[in-house]
Amino acid sequence: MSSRRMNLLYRLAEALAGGEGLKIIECLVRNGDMRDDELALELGLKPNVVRKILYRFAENSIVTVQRFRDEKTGWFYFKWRVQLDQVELYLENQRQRILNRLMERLRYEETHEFYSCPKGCERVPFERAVEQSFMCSRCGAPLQYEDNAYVIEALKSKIKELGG
Amino acid sequence: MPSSSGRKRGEIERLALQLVNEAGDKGILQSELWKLIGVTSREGSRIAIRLEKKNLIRREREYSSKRWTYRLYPVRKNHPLLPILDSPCLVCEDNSRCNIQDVVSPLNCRKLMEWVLKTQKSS
Repeated sequence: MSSRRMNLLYRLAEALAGGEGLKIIECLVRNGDMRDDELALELGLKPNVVRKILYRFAENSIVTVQRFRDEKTGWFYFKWRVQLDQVELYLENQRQRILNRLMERLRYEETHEFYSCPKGCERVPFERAVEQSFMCSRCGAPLQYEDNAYVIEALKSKIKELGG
Repeated sequence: MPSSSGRKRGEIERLALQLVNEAGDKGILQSELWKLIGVTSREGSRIAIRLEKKNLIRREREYSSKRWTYRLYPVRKNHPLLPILDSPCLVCEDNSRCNIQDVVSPLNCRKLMEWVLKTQKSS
């Protein structure tokens, strides 16, 4: 298995569900297909916690699930498996999304003037500040002009970091 | 505009790109590629030029079978993926519906800006 992919998988699991998520993924990588109750038992976690995390992973395509029916009881049970080949695709897709958001935000920051509340309640563009007569809509304090050069600089640097 | 074989241009471009990507570092001769796809060489070279303009492939001139042709290589972009792992978007419940035309928008997202400004401060 590619160590780059494994590293990304573990880091992503931790980012999505913390230490418990990481334990679950490590256990799945070690044992292959596993039922959620087996996972809970092996890791000493509550079954509902394990399921919740697994569903979150499934939403993000890093695990896949198959449903089986128990012959004796007629109950359904679920087997989970890591989808290692999806990790990079998922992250690349997210990178592109985040990059687009940052670019939109940069365009917005570059084309607007901002006014903010000195108490930190809100930050509004010039047009809205006019509507509010340059008063904070929450605490009533007068809004102050904000030089957003630092925001633009930070956005540009982040966009560059993400390969944009 | 439909091509001579009746397929759409986009579909052929996608197929061509897929074959170039599959060829990897060895690349693939333009003349071989058109045979695999089933289009004329004129149409083929136009598609290659378009893909090159989009920065999806790289063309290098090569002498093969007593004539000049091009070898096509994929443009691999190894984008950095680690920096997004601490982004708030990954764990945000509104990630899938965050859009500039929506209520949940990157234009007013505090978490996004806190993340951007935090990394700026720490660097």
